[in-house]
Amino acid sequence: MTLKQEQGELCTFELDGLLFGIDVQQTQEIITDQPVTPVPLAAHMVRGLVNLRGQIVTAIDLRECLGLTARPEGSRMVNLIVQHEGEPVSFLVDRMGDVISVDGSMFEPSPETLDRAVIELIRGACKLSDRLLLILDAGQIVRHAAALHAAPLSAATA
Amino acid sequence: MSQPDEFVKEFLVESREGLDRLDGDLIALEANPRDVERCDSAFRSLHTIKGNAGFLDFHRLGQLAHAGENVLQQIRAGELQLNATITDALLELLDALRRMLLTIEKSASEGSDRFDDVEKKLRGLSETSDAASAPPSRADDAFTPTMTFALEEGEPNVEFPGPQSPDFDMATIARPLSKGDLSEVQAGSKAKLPKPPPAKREEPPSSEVNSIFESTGSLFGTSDSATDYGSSHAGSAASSLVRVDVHLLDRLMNLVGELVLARNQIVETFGNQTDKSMTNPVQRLNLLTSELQEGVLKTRMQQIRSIWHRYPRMVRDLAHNCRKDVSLHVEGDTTELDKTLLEALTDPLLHLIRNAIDHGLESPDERKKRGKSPQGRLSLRAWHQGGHVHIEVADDGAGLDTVRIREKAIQRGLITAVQGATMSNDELHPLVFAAGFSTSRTITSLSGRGVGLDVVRTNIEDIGGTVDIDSVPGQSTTVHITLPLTLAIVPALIIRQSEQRYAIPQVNVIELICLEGAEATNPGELFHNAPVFRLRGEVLPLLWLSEIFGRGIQRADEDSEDGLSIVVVQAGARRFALVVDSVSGTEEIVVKPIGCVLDSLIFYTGATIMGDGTVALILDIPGVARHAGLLVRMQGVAEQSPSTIARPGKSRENLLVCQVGRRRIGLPLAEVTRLTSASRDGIEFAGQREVLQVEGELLPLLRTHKLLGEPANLTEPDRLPVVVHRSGHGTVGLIVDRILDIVEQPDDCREHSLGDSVRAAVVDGKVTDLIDVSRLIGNAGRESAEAIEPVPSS
Repeated sequence: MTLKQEQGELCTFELDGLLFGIDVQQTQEIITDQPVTPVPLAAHMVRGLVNLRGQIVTAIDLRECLGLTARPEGSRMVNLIVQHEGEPVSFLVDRMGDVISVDGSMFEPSPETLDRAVIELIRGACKLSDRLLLILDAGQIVRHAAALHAAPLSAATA
Repeated sequence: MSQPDEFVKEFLVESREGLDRLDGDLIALEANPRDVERCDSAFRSLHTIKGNAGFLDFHRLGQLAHAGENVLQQIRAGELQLNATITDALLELLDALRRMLLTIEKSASEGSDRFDDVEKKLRGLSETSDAASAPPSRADDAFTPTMTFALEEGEPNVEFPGPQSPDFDMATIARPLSKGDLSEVQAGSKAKLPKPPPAKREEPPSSEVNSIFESTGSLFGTSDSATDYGSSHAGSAASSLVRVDVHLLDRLMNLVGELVLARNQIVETFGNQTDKSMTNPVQRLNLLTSELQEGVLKTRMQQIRSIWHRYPRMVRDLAHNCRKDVSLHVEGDTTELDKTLLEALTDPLLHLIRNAIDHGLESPDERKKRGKSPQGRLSLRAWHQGGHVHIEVADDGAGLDTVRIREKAIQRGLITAVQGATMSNDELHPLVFAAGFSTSRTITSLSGRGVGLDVVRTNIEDIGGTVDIDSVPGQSTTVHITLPLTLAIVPALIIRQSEQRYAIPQVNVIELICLEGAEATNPGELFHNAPVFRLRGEVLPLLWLSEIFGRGIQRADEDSEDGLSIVVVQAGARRFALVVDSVSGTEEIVVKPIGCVLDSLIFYTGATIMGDGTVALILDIPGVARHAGLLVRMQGVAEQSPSTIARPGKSRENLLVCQVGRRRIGLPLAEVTRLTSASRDGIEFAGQREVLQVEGELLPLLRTHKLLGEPANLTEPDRLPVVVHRSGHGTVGLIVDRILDIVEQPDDCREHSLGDSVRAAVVDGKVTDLIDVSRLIGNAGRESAEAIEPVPSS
């Protein structure tokens, strides 16, 4: 299914002043102020683990993921819990926005000037009346993060 | 082919339960052929399978079941007398049906294997029923060839011995039995095989529990033998039970765990208040939560009999196979265990039982010769104690042959000959669990024991348990398994590293060491460029957790009061020392999955939620070891080790530094083959010389202090450190007072010559004699020339 035929609702949020959105169907809930346990040797965008009512959830920092400037120390962040293959994963974002309805006519392909690595994570752009919104592919982001852990040292020497 | 639909799935589950029940019924019937209830129950089970098969259009399955049903019908009617031949044929039918069910599960069809031979044999049995008294040997002659053929084709994984037992030969189970055999087996098995438990795995009505112990009478005494098996299976049991998805139970467990945490927080906050309107509900919440937790934990528990109920048949078959007479005693089969644990336990237990029958118990003749009862006793016990489940598999057979174990272990390099000479039986026994012991054919044929025991240990350790073996030569072997109550909760050591807490499963932890002062700043030493830590003579790779985590080595400050915390851990047979920031203590933790994003990281087995709600990672020690192995190799190859580890100055020669009397002596490490110790009692005399028996050879011992003219050590310890030294003069053992260190002889080391065989140098700031051992031995050799050469034993 192409973006043009899609219509539905997007859950929007901000990262480094930019507006992003994720299909609202994939989102589960929002939690704030959760202590994050860092995971040494995990991919750089994996901020750590959070406790979601007894379930352990990996928190992926979307700023890191999309190559945006690093989040200033101590700034607030929000855990946007999304469902990936039946498992919750947390996306760390700066601030939540509204849930907006969109239809196919508003979609544009991703701007080609974007970084190659980042382009894979973005499904497309959406022209809003006042600003541009980038639609993220949650599945791709999770797979991307899972593939980037510290390589075994044997591979490093080879 | 398509996946089986819901009806078929249900049919598969039901039929398998039916077959398990039939196994038990048949074995019990063989022991007591007049047990009408058992016979009825067996008939009904088979009839149900036949009926369902017809309904679902599995014709061949139905036909086979029908053939068996006919035989059972005749037994019921008294036209046929159940004997071992018939039991064998019927058991073979059950196996054939099981295989068909497996094919149906895989391909939703019956498959091409028609099991004609099985049917033919059953037909033959029912036809001979006219002459019910026909000698069984006739039937055997007629059917043995086809039987063997069928078994050659059999899939090993359907049979109970499991895939890792290629040595198990089904054909011999069905060996023709002579009449003498039969009567012996029947007489022997009477009243000693406990009645197999009913196959319904869930809580059975108590009357059934009683009947299980009817024949052993061990726990409940005698009971009402008129228990109606059939109706309880068909009626009440089925309707009062609900099949529940295990994942649902897991989720409930999870939620209850969280509820407990929330409860703890609330109780802490409100428990001490004087306001009754608050404390009362808090107390009730407290109680309810505890009960709920207990209840949910129970839903995952199953009685151990759900795997034990197959053993009577298995023991019967194995005993036939090995031509042994074995009685099985079961105790505590209502002991409950987490379902996951139970599944993981199945294979190791099978292995242990097979070992006990095959290798542990002697043949009836041999037992008579040794003055034992010809019937071997195999006992299975299970009980709860101290928050653990204990399981014991014991036989009254020949016991472990420690002489062979010692030989084999030395041959395989598991222990040195010197160790072998000084190890007690208790120390030797665990060696049968060492990897590699299993594959040895010689030890199997010579001393028995050891086949795949390393697999048993690995399996048990995988589920957080431990396994010990105990043996009295000529009398018994007992294998003791200790398991946690549930897989979900494991005891763990909590450590701190870089402000974070990590859990190390207690099974991996050997000991904790805290170094202080100078030792803390420089805890290890370098051995072939890899840092090592010496623990009571054992050299362990030394790793910094901070370095593994890519943060570099953080050395303790000289004046830090905390010291340096080292956790000695074990991954499989491999031990290493892990430096961590600090050790917090031990805690029971709930293991939780870490999620798909981090699954591929080998360093963590999961994560847990601590009392304050934060997440802590659980270190996977084998994963860390794998990583560490790479680290050590890398440093050896590429010289890119962090400069903090390498000591300044290029290495020239490694010296082993020992204390002898007042002197420190340095021996070239290249000439040292190993370090060991000798007990004072182990030192014997050959001529005028002290020797130690090693690998059947004599190791001449030299008192180094005598050679160096030092006064003898008056407070000699019980175990003397021995440096085994090899040079042109042969191998000798040098007894020293203390082994101090391995150091590199620095480049700029100034040597001072002090006579023929002694030079001195300043090593690590202390005067150390550099000993030319060959010269020294040469001097000693002139005194007693003949004894200094190693003397081969005759």
